[in-house]
Amino acid sequence: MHETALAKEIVAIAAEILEKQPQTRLDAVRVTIGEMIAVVPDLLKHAYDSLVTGTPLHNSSLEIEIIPITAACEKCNQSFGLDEYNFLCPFCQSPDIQIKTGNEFYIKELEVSP
Amino acid sequence: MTVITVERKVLEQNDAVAAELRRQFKEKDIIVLNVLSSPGSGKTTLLERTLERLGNDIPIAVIEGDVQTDNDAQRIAKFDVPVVQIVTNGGCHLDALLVRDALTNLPLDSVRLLFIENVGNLVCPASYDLGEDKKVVIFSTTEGEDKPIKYPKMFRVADVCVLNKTDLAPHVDFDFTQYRQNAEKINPKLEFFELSAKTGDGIDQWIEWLKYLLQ
Repeated sequence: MHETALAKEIVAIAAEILEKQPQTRLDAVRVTIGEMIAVVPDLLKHAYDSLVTGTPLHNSSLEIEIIPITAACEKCNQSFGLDEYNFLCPFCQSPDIQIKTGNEFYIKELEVSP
Repeated sequence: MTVITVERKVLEQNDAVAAELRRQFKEKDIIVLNVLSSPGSGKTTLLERTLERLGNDIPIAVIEGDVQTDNDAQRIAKFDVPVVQIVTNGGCHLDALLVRDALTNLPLDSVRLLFIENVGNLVCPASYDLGEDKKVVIFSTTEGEDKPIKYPKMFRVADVCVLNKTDLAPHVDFDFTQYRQNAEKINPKLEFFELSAKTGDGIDQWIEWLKYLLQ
């Protein structure tokens, strides 16, 4: 259950940016999260909603884009998606794979209105 | 409606502090191990056995992380090594900022090996860099051989996997082959140790590895 702690970081960064734009209202925060981060989207949204209640960020919503885990095999050079955390190349069974996507965890953008 | 591009990492503050800690540890020549497991896997007991064996020869310090109580710090303090207890008051993991605060209470200039015993939890602590050299995940035979595939993130980010309570394996029908297959499927680069912190069986290899790290 790290969603509450992570939501706090998101709210802090959003609040910091909003402070520099005094005449705007925050409508949405868009975050990009790789599957490797193991975040439960609904829990993160609930945590966000309760953290912004009663603050200048209230009425804003958290929008989450999940990035699936993909990898490339160092041995046979094939690229593939990783299902069920099976970290083996599905083509040659090599464990020598490079994770390409799925470790992302950043705030992509804020949507604001006057 | 306006869109403001942000592109900032959610854990940027933690990561920045962790990088600063890593630089500080390197400068002071301190090896740091972030010790992770479920509650009750034997993290503190393994540290006790380690201190028994190495405490007289190597300057070791310990940071203990728990949701409540300083029970673990009291256990470690019996070995006469510097120890700081972090009580997270509900927090399910340690972060780099908590570690930075704890370090102010340790005599870092005379420490060579620092253990950070994280809060017992196989999910959240996996996401937080503490500036460590290695992440050591401990799990015990009583937890079942499928633990690595149930908590893949933790086993994927770990460098070392210590299987504890091998003395109990026959009582819980623990399948060693299946466990290794599960763990290696998640992370083929893991280094493995199998031991019983209670009986001392297998501890030698763990101690030798620590000595090797300090060379």
